[in-house]
Amino acid sequence: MLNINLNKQNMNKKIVIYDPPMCCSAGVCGPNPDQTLISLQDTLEEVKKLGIEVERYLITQSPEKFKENSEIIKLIQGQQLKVLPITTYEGKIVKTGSYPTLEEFKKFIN
Amino acid sequence: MKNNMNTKFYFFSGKGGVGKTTMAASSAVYFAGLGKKTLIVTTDPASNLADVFEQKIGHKITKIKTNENLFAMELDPDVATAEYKERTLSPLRGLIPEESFVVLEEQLNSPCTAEMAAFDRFTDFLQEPKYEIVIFDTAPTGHTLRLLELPVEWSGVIEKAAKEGGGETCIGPAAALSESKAKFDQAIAAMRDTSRTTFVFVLRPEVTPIYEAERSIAELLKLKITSQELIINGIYPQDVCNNPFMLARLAKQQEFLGIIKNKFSIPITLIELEPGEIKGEKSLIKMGKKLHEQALKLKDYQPVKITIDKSKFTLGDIPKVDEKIKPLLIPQNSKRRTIFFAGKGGVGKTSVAAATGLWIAEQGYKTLLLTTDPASHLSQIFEQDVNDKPTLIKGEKSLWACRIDPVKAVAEYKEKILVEARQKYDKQRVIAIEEELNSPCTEEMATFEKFIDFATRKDFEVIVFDTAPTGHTLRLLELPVDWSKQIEIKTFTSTGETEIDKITKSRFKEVIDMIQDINQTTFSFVMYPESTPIEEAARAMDELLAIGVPTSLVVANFILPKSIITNDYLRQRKTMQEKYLVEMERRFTSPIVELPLLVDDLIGKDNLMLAGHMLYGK
Repeated sequence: MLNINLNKQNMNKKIVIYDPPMCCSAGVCGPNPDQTLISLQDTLEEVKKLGIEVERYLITQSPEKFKENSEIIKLIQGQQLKVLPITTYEGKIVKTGSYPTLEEFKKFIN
Repeated sequence: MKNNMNTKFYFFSGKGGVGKTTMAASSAVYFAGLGKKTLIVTTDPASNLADVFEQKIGHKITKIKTNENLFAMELDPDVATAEYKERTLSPLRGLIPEESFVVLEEQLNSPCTAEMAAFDRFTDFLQEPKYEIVIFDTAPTGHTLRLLELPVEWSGVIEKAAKEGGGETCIGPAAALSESKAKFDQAIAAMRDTSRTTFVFVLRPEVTPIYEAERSIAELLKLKITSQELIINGIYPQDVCNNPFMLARLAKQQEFLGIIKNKFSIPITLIELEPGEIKGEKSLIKMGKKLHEQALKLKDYQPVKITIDKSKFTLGDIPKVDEKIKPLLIPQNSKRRTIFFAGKGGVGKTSVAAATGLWIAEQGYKTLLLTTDPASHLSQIFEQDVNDKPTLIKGEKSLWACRIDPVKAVAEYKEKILVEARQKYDKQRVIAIEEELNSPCTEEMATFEKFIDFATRKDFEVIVFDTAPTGHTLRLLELPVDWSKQIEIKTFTSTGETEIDKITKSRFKEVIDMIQDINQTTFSFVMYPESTPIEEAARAMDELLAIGVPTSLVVANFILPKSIITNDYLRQRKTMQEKYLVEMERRFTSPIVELPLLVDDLIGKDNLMLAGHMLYGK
């Protein structure tokens, strides 16, 4: 994957979001468009501009990505699906239960 | 991928009830008889392949007992969906708590999953190297075309998702889909290759199916699929038309053949109407030979000269109003009455719905006749424009008609979302949302939105739905149940239930309650008295009952009037109809009303009103 990084320091650093079950992560399909998800797309665009790679996995579409991460599985075992979405930075869990704001993302990165 | 460059594909399409399965099955028997290893697959949720071959087939490749070269499979959308779900979720089974796992399974009950699962299997068969001939007895036209359009749309979606990187698409993670893309592209290439693929449209010699055939042919050309043929099934043999009624019907057919000859430049084969049914090896062999070796081509057809004396027709008496039937058609306790007409395409559903609408309007109720069938021909039968806004039928005081146009519905749905998006987001984000809205699920969602809008309207006393063909109808009706579950899942997880979700949910509940209440809703099935339509209706009724919707009326259409039985051929057909009418009485608990075969096609208000009176009395 080719990323034009504006910030060399952050090269190859990665945010991964493990999404809860839903029709699609963009938020525009399903019974009503989901404003939270649409705004999240914007936030993630900003995060990418900082040179951070962003990946998202939807539990119903990429279950093997969840399986690969024992910490994620452990959290679901303890708290059910309410623990999703989970955000990781550099492999470490930084937020559970809701999506981070742009400010929070910036905090994780620094 | 294995090389299957030598496999030849045949796609049969056309409305249900036109003899599509018979033509597909007899072709399969014919090719197998030439020593070619042949597979016939039906993707029609309401398939009757098993009835035709007189053996159990089901959702796996099954050898046809009487033929060493012939194999068949009935692709069951429910099983395909279950397999797809299992394949998708198996990595998490046992790993996460049962409570959570169940939620994931529920989530995959969305309408998109069924579409994807069926399509997945469908492309599998397009790379089947083990057979020399693969015949698809496809689902009804509109749905088939959507299925075929998917690969084109999907590879676009996949390319885009892969380019942007890391993206999830509406139909799965980009990485997994890149693998599928090769499969889809190969499928499209095979369908476009004229030396390997032939599309065959089967239609009856009537005016209305012409429009549908024209549309389908044009749609395929748009997809650059050019190898197409037509079979016109059910031509009256000239020698059996020995009474004024049959001669008048024959004259109609000849007129039709003239129109079609001028309209289409693709090869057209004519098949005569058989007096009995085509079932079992022997009759399939005979039909296969007829179709591929002996049948007349339209260019060689010689019409006979017919003079019609309409005064000689005896229609039979118009019955008195049946007081048992009437309450099923009009509002009770001043609550709006909603009437659904279901049944295979080609059984005369649209005409019966229109006749019913006219009859109810004549009783003085403000009535809306509404179609959700993408291939509807309400405009043709009323001889005036019917569009997506209720329009008063000319010369009527209480009858309006309306057509839910999927293309327009999609455009409106998209616009609704984009207007909001444009106020909130920058241009690039809006473009991205727009792209996302091109996903295959959007059409289903948009049509469904429209359906709900009308189903909750209060400004009519009676709404008559001329519904889309059976399988699709059921899905449409199951949607409110499914979507309200989707919203419940949202509450379950942290995304939360918004105010809008609550409103949506209560609207869905209103629709579900209405459909399940027999004092508000009349679910009726239209069929003609033959094995296939009866079996299909019975299956569909069971499915409806499973979602709490009982059937309350059955219409038996195209009944041969006694006065026209003037030779053995017609007697044989009449005997067959009577046998099946008895079977209908035995199998269906709801009242059955009969509509005789009429001389003229049911076009224009006078003919429709007459049909209304024949059905429900005067």
